[in-house]
Amino acid sequence: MRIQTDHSKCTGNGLCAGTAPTVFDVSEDGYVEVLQDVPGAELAALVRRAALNCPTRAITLLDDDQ
Amino acid sequence: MAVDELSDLVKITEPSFYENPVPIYQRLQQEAPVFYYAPLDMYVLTKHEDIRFAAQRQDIFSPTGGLLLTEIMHTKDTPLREEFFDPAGELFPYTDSPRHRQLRRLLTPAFTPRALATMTAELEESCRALVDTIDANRPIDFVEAVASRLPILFASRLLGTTSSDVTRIRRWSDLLENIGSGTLTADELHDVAQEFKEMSGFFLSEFDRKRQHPGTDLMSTLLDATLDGEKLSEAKLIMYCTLVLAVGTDTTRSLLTGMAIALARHPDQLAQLRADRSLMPTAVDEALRWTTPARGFVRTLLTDAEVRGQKIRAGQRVYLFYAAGNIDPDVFPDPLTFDITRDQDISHLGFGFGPHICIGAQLVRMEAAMLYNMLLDRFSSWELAAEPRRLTHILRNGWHDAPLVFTPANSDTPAANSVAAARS
Repeated sequence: MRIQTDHSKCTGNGLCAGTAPTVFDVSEDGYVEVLQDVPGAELAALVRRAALNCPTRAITLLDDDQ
Repeated sequence: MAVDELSDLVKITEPSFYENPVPIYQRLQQEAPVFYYAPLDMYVLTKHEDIRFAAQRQDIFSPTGGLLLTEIMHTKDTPLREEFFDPAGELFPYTDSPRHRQLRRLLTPAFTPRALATMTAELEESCRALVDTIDANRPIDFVEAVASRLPILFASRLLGTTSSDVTRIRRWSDLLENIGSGTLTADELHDVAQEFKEMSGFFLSEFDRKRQHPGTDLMSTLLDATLDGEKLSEAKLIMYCTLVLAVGTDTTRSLLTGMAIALARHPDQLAQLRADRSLMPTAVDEALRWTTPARGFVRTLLTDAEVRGQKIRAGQRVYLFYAAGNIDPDVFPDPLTFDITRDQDISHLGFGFGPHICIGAQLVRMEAAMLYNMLLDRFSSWELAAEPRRLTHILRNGWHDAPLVFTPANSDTPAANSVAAARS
């Protein structure tokens, strides 16, 4: 799984960082920051949840072969 | 016996509707999930998926035509909100992007997890001081003693106000809360708005003091911020500070109260949470789902659109009925059960969704977790001493009071380090 984020959609609310704090953060410029682009399998469920609940759909998850 | 027509039952603008609305929410979801509410030419959305869709697509569903049912009910020459807020302040919850993004971005950095982490020690101090005031073994009003105070103390700390006169600030917050209640006439609201404007005077004197002694707080940041190439006008500064201090605090009061009441009614779950604080995040989110402090908001369609096969025309409105979406069985199995272990894969709508989602969501989660960890350290349980009195209000699900009796923890209970543990 690879993570893509779209700063044109991100509002910097940090809900993703609340859900998966070792994977997402909000930087000082107010946008999502991905701490690990290719998170381990043990984080997959949390990362999916963060993406699913991003209020502005700024997080996209790609399969490894994409 | 004939089944009552939904059109006779769905009275979303009447406070009495909210005395027992759940059976009607369920019927709406089953029979008419996109329900046409003729009095306001509005479609009421009760399915979680539809509400999320509309909340997220601000290119179609715009807040510019009003957010509150009361605003649509009291259509006058001057929008209701402009009686409370100077239009020059550009109240950003009512704006569309790109302006919405520009305005909101000045506030977001203060609410990120990183920013909040730097304030944890300060906020804990406020929280602990408040929990210290709770007398055990006798009835106290939890709303007055804790739930109304903590959000104001937190918001004051965040803003960096020199005064945190809780009674005065709560008064303003309560005045503003009237805007969505549906119990006042337009003329009565006009009077309320006049009194509310005192709050602007409070902020102006705070700004003067802060200009002389700037700090690292949000008010200092806003005083220093630029928008459209210039410093923020007083109207905008007042708009931002009012949103933080008055708009965000009555909703949080409702959540904190709802969580206390729900745990009092489910003593087994209170004990379970006390024994296992790792459940705190799911417990807080379940309390958000259970309480849903803001029952719903309005959007106006900018273009024709379709929701669940129903065509809706540009200019018509939809009501995002969060309270109903939060008991949607397609998302929340056994939705009427309060369950602190409910792991919400798809989140509740307690904060709304889309670009207008509650800006303080992370602060509120942190605040509730901090408070309940401290309460569970200090007390082994609490019980209702009398039935809490619910607000008569069409927007806010909240309580006038919550009479509770707290039972002190035994001194041998090994719970003292849980706040630090939950933070790490």
